[in-house]
Formats: sequence, C-alpha cells, structure tokens
Amino acid sequence: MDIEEADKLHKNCIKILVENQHPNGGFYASPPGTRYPFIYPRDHSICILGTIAAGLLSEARKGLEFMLAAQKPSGEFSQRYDVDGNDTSYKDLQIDGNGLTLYALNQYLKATGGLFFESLADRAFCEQYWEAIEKAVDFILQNKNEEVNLIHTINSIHEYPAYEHGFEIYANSTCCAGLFGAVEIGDALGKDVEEWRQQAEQVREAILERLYSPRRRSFIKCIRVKYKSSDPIGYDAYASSVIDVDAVEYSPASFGLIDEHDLRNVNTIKRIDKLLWDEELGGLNRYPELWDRNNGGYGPWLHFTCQLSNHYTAVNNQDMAEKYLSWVVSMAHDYMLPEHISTVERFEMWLEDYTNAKILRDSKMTMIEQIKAHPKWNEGFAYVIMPLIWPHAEFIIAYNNYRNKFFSKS
Amino acid sequence: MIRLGSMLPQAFMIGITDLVDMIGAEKTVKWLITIGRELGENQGPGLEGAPEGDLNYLPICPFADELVRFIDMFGERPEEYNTIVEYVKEREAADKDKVECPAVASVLCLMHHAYRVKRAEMAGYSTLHLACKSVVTDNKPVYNEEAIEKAGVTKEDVDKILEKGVCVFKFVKEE
Repeated sequence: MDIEEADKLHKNCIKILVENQHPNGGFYASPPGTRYPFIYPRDHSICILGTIAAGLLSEARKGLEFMLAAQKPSGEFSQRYDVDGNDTSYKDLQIDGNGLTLYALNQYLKATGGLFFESLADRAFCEQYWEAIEKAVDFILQNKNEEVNLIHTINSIHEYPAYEHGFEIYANSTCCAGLFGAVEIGDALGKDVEEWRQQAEQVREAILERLYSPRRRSFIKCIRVKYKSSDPIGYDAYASSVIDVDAVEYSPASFGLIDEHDLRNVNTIKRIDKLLWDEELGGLNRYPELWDRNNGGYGPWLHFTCQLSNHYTAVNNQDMAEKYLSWVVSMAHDYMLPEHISTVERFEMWLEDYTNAKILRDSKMTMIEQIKAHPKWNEGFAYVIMPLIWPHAEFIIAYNNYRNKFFSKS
Repeated sequence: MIRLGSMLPQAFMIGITDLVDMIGAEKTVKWLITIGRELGENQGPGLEGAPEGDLNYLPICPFADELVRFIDMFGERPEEYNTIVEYVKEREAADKDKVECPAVASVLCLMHHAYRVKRAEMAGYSTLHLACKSVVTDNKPVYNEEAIEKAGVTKEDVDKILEKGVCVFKFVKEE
C-alpha cells in the first residue's frame, strides 16, 4: 500500500467529515447539492464513530446531541432527518438506527473516559439523555419477537425490504450491540439495567443460533417474517430464509458480539471474500449482483471494503488487510471516496434494466448526470454518489486500526 | 378477495361508509381529522414528502392501493365517500380561511392532511395543501387555488409537479 497516499487520504477523510457536519450537529450523508443532503441515523452514527476514532470528541458529542434530540415520541430514530432534526423519512422502519445510536453513544462515553474512565467519562451527558436511552431501548424491545428472541425490522442497511424484512443480521447485531451499550452506560451511571442485560444476552444467543448456518459455516442474511409478533413464525406469510451472501454477515463480530477469531466469523468472512470480492474491479460488493438493485451499476462499495479490512487487521492478516485498504486508497479521487464504483458497461446494463422496468425515477436521473460528469467516466469507471461521507468515516476507523496494529510494532 | 391478514384497512373503509350513515358527514369528517392528528402527534415532528424547490410532493399516494382494492370490491366511489367529499367542498366554499383547507381528492385525504399538518405544526411549520389527485378522481387534479396563491406559485408550477407526483404542499416556517 502506498502509505504516503493512505496518510493523505486519512487526513482528508477527517477534513471531509468535519466539513460535512452541519452547525446543528448532523452529518450530511452527502454534501448539500448532491444526492443525500439529509441526516440518516445509520450514516450519521458511523460518522460519529469516525470522529471518535479521529479524536474529535466534541464533534461526536454534537452529533449525538443532534440525534438524541431528534428521537420520535415512540423511541424510534427515523430513516432520515433534515438539518433541523425534523423527520423527513419516506421509508418504513429501519431499526438499526436505534441500535447504532446507542452503540455510538456508548463508544463516546468510553472514549471520553479512556484509561481514566472512572474520573473522566462524560457521564453527565449520558445522564442528561437517560430518558432518550430508555425509550430507544424500549423501542428495540417492542420489536423483539418472543418466540425466537430476534429483533424485527422492515428495512436494514440496504433499505431493501425484499431481502431485509424480518429478522435481519445487521439490524439484530446493531440492536444487540446497542442494548449491550445501553447496559454499559447504565452500569456507569449506577442504574438498574439487569433486565436489559438479560434481553441483550437473549438476542445475542438467538443471533448465534438462528442466524448462523452450521452446514454453510456462515452467518446468514435474514429470516423473512412479515409480522414482528408472528407466533409461531412458521405460519407467517413470509416465512423463509435469505441465505445469500451479504457483506454485513460480518456484523456479529464487527459489533463485538463474538470474537474476530471465532471460527463462525472466520468462515463467514471467507465466504464473503470468495463471493463478493469483485474480480474485475477489486473491492467488495455488498450483495450478489442478481439481487439487481444496483443503482448506477453493480460494483464494490468503499465502506464495506473498509469494514472487512478490520477483520483482517484484527486477526493479524496484514496481507489481506492491505489488499482491502490499498484498494480503497487507489480508488480515491482527489482524496475523496464515492459510495461505490462500477464500470461503464455495468452502468449501461443497470440503466437498461431500470428503463425497461420503468423504475427510473427523477432522483436517479440526477445521479446519472453526476456519474457521467465525473472525470473517471472517461476512464471507464462509474463513480456513484461522490462523495458519500460514510466511507470517509469507515476509512478513518479502518486505517487507524491498521496503523495501530501493524505500524506500532516497527 | 380479502385475505384475513389484510382485512383491517378494508374494515376501516367500510367503517367510514357506515359512520356517514349513522352520524352524518360532519361528524365523520371530524373523526377522520381527529384520527390524523392523533397519529401525527404519536409520530412527532416531521416534514413529509420529497422537496421540489420551495414545495414538497408525494410521488405516490400511500393509500391508493387500498382505495383501488376497496372500489374494486365495493363498487365505484361509494355514495358515502361522495357525501364526505361534497360536504368538505361545501364547507370549504363557506370557509373564509380556505387557504388552510386540504385539497381533497378522496376521503382519505382528510385524515392524511390532518396527520401532515399536525406533524409540521410540531416542527414549527404551517402547511398549505396546494393540490392532489387520486385514482378515485381518475387522476384529475383537485386544487386549493387560495393556497396556491399564498404559496406564491402558479397552477402551472403545481401541474408540473403533478406530472410526477400526486400531492403537492408547502411548509411555511412559523415566525
């Protein structure tokens, strides 16, 4: 990997992150004037984790203040908000927003304390928002199915109900990590959180039992179930499993629910790498091409590639970590990162599919214009959504991990 | 055929027709508006729709599919629905503050508009409902011309958005 280039990208990622935090605290998913000038709790939470990794704790706190104040009366965090914290969502429930917000809050608390947690941790901030924390936890638990102890959602990380409606792995991992995060916060504040601890443990066990396939030696994507309260779920109208590979099957380890070295995780990663590494372009695709919801053309995503590098770093596999991260570095343009990358040929294929199906709506026309106007188009690449802020946060996290692991030795 | 699992929306729509017969249009309208506001309050502050300049619009009607299903099963535009829409139009005609009224294409627009207004109100905005169209009006737009004027746009501007959407409104930040 070109370390000099990686360092420059790392530096610019921090700059991009800071520049795209609105004074009210929200991180734009993409800058004003581009496709996603809103605050999405999922992207926003990862940006908070990025600022924490960069040591920007006041920015992280501001981001958390924004999100916690925007919570709905039900305890839910919506799909997206405007810069004033008004709910502007247009999609159904994506419960990972609740899990991620709690998880990020706990990471902030731990970061403020550092090695001197007892004396330095920002407990006052968590105390101030304790009611919001309770409501966020309650909302997650309201969506827990008592038969299988898994959390129900309609959308998850890909906002794609056809493959995510039910008990989905990313939603469950983030919510479970969020519950454990709330427990740690509660412990730090001296609250009685025993019930939450038990609930979190139940969800964790259910993920390991029901969202893992021993014969495939891999976590699976989703148990499709229409209604959260279906009992028995075998009679639910959607009852089926999604066993296709998805990059987020790494979530149980990524969110600390199992060890990185756990063979269930190691073999899951092998499957992801084998089936989703893009042989033509390099980089990691998010799911199989045939799901055919590939806006701008099928291709590798920068933030999933960064995420998986964290596994290789954690298990001391520098070659693979470098393979993943150096690809991200090489794909940066002006030290900025897009959502994903495709080829002109794949872009045209996607355009044909969507045109023929008559599902090419207005916002996608703008996206198409921007893809074609990007300098990389003339080199044969479709740079889709440039820049997306999320991968910048992921690169900060992943490159920090990589440097800390492999550079501190030399 | 109604599958049992999706019976509830249809039951609600039958309930509206029954209610008009039992308590009349005025009280049914109030009931629908109350439901919309209660649901809005429960959801909290929010601004609906996709932004298009200073206006917002909905690309599709969230209730269209259920309406079509209902009409397919129970006949074209039940008389009770007409009664409600006519009542609202008459009430609107007599209302000096017509600018605040919804542009009602179907009976469900009343509940929906109340929901939208309540959520915007909680976010510190008032709402102008400029136009809407529905499968029950054969996609012929229904306008609130006073609201269009107050929004500072023309009917042509609204029509342009209606080419790709079904419901056009404007949120105005309260001072």
